[in-house]
Amino acid sequence: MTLNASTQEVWFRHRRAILKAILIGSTAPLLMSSTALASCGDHVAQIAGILAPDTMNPFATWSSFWPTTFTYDFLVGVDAQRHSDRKGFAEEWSVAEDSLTWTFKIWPGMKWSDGKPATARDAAFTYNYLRDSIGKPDELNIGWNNTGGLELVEKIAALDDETLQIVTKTPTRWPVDNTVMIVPEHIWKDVSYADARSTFRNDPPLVGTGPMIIAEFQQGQFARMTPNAYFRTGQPPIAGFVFSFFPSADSIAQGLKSGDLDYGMNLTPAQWRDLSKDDGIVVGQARIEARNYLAFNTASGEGAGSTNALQDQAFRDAIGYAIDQNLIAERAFRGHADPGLGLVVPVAKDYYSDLADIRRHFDLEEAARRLDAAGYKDINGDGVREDKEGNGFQLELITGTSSGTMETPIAAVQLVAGWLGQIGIPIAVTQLDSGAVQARTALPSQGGGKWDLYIGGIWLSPSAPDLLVLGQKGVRHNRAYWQNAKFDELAAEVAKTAQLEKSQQLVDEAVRLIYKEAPYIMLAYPFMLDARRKDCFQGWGTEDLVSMWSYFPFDRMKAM
Amino acid sequence: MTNKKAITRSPPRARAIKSFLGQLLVHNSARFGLMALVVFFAMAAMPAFLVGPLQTAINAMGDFLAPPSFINPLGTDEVGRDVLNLVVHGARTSLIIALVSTVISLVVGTTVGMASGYYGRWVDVWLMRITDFFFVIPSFVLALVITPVAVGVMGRSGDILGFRPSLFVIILVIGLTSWAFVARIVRSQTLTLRERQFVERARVVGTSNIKIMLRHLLPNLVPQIAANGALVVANAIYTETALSFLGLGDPLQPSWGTLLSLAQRAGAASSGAWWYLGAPGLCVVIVSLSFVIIGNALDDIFNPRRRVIP
Amino acid sequence: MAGGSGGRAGHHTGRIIFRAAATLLMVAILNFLLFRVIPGDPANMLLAGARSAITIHQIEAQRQSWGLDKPLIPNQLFSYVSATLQGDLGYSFKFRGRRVSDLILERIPATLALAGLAQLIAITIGVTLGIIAGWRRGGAVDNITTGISLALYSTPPFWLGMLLVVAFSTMLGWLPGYGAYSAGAAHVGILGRLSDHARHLILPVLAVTLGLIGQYVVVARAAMSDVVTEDYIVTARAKGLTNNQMLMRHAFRNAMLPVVTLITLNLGYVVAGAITVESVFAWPGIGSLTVEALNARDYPVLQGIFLLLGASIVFANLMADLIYGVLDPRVR
Repeated sequence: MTLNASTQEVWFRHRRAILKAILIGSTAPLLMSSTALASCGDHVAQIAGILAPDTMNPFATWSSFWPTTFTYDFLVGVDAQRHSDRKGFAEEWSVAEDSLTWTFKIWPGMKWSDGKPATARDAAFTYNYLRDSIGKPDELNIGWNNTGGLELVEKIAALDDETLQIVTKTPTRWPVDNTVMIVPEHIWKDVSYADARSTFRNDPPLVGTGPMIIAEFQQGQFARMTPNAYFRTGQPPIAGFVFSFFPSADSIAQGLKSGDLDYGMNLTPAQWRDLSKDDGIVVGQARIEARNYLAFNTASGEGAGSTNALQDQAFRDAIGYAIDQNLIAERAFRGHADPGLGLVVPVAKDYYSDLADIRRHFDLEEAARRLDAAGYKDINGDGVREDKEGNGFQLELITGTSSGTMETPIAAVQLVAGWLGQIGIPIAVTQLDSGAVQARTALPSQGGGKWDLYIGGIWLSPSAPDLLVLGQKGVRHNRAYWQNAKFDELAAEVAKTAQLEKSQQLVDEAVRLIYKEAPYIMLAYPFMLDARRKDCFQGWGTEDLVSMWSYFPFDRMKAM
Repeated sequence: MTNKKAITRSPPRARAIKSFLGQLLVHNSARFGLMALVVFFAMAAMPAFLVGPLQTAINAMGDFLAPPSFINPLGTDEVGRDVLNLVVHGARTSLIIALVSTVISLVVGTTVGMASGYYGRWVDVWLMRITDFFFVIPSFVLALVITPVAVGVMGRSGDILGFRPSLFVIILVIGLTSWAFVARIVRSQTLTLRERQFVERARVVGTSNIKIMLRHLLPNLVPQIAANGALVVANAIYTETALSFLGLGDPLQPSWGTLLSLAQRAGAASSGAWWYLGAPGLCVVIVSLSFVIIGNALDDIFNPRRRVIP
Repeated sequence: MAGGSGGRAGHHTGRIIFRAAATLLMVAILNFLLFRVIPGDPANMLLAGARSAITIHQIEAQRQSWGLDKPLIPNQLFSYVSATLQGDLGYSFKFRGRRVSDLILERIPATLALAGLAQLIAITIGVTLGIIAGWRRGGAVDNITTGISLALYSTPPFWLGMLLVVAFSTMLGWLPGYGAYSAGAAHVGILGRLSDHARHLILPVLAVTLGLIGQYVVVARAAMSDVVTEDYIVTARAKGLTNNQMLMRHAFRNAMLPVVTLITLNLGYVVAGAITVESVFAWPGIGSLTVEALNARDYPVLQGIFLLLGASIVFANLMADLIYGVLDPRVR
């Protein structure tokens, strides 16, 4: 009796401790063994970035560049022109004397990842599929694969299995510069335009000619890639990789440190600095084609902002003097960005100029003077200027990062809001996520508009037409809804120009025009901050750890 | 006649207050709580006097994400702002939101509770049904969902009654979703008080219902309201911190919750910047704890046996 | 007589259930109104973001099923309620036309794992500690326990989570600080996956549990000390009549009533309570879905979640009322 009572007492009194001990004891062995996951044994690389692709269908969205760029090839594209060992769908290309007829030699014997032959006919199909949608209600102009530039093309034909011919109406670099992903005819020929624009999810496993095929896609989590057994230079040596999507860089940095990740991009300066001190990690920073800007809502009528001042060039130009791009690059990006200037990004060396004669400088008093001169004074002395209709300014600034562009640090937004507040233009900031920001900055005819200022980014190729796309009327990227006949004329000319010198002149003229009109104030050209671990895999790039424009280095990377 | 009343009324009241404070301060913990609150209220009342004007990205001086040092006792953030400066200025935003929304909660809750308890019958039934409903719905999620909608409706421009619209909306939203707790307690107290002699007498004399409620019931409800009011404040602070952390605050006039959100976005957790995370959070804990302790102490004083703990 | 009291109890139970159903209906109506009494065209609000995400046909189908062209009350209300009862909660914008009900069902397990485990641990530890503290009022143990519990009770769990990440993940590197599984989990065997999952659970569960422990300790202690100061217990103790242990068990049983009520109520808040913690740890549950939908202004998803949470709380309250009715004979 007493024995029972005492054991009962012991149990009752120390119930908590006993339970805890049992709990801990049973989990200890499990916890000890779990570092197995971080090992290199399975030869599957772990990659991560701050992305939010919502579908693997390149016709339906801009946000799926990663990871579809590992699965689909461009005909030529950006990387193939920069590096001879990073070719795309075409092995060779040339243009005839008349500068109108381009001939592409497709890799002989190339196959799609499902074993079917990949020929020039698939390339012809892809371009014709796009071209035939022009003018239709379901025109394919909303995604990465879009109809931009195809209006200059006369004819696209596959002369035989290995030869593709593109004939253009005027000389243009479009046939080599375009970034259309080549898709297989046997998969896509039965997809209607309406479906291709939206609901066709292009479910994995995808069929492509790239080295890594998307085998699984979980929206908001990861995409898993397996090597393409039929890849033209041989099946990639590694067993595949997993591309994880994170909403913030915190997890990426932690993953790199703990060994869960082999490579991560989109790091913040704070994490980059922290990781650079780690012996097991190599950090990289690269100049890329990204541009971050402040856009004014210059629309009038439907979707217009809260004041007509936004449509006034003098107003916008004055505000340009209130923005210190050097401080933004230094404080907000911590030096990991070039200060913003004009439409042309420094990496596009052929077209970059420092606009020394017309560039604005940072001077709050100058900005104030110009605002006064333009007629936006503070009449009632409350510290807030009034516009020409007599209403005090109260501007709404929306900001958010569209997937696939570089984030603008909130500090930059705070700086801009602070400067404008100091010259009498109060700003209220709304932060939105990728989808919401796309919806609000869509064209007014699509339901967008009714904001005043937008801080966002764009990342396209360094080709001349892509450089100018921000200012072209009716184009999705033209978030400022700006319209200028002269600019459109220049841009159209540029698209038709293949000769470099002439192209440079036209681009320069266009860039100066838009700089003076100032529908955009370029804030910065951010660098890509990334990092990789030293262990497990070798064959990473030296200038760029992972290419920003193609499948490199996953076609040749090896396990250590 | 009135003079005499004035003279005879103050000493007992003053005595009552003094004895009350004495009782309160006997509780050691309440003393700690009061002291902490005094410090934070001082911070909220005159932030510029204590640490200078709010540091913005423009006038930030320090190095980036620097650990605490002599110059920056609480370190700096990712843009070089002094964290101590941000925290002190944040006190004002956080405390104002918490207090004003509590006032709203108390006013609405007391009104509903008193009316319900006093009038009884169908008024009671319907008001209690509404109260139960507000008790049941997930108020935090409701606040989460209403805020962006309300901000969209009110627009982001201008000031409403001196508050920036986003703050105003948060205040309203917290106030209107946390009154049910108060209403229930006030109702039960009113039910008890209603049967007392002084109420009977007032009714016989012909005093209007409103006057009875305001003059006779309300003063007797004050102790109960105060005790629970402290808990309502603690809850309001938590809700505001959480809402701001999720991004609904105003980054240009940061509260403690907004500071935590900024810290998270800057990668403070993964780069080990514990000062940036720790300081605002610790302030929330201390202030919230102080209110809870004081609420408990008040409750102990007014209800020696029964304790109302949420 | 037995039949009479049984009948009364049954009547009481019936009334509780009826009230719960009425409340649930009111939650649904509030949910309905919340997203529709927006100035401007509610259809636009609800479907505006969808234009690029789902097809015209789906938008039209949604418009039909919710009756957005018809007057608000009673037509739209009726359409909404009947659609909801059939399980049609609409389509998400952010997730490109996926059904809201599918999204929610997909994310529930992760939240249940996190919040459920946290509640379990908190109840075990918290109630035990609270009872011990309440039994021995005024001792050092009591004061320290109560002090720490009050502090934990006032601490925002997401802040605690961030500190845990800094300490255990960044500085010590012992545990992962994000997500529910490591990136390579798909390739490892079942045991590896389980242990990986367990490692990822530790910090988030800790963050939620600590705050809950504070709550349970405070309530259990209060309930216990209330009972302990009742005259019969004090007398019995003074007389030294009954064995300490039997007395404690007796007091324990009586003190359990408010504690059990709290536990049942808390279960209804399981999901809502985890929102901020899931956001800190990028835990793929309902909480982070709420935040994602919020940032994306994805109203159909928000509407669905609000309904889910409201319903779970109503249900938990119903359970609490029923249990209360069973345990406390005074109610009958």
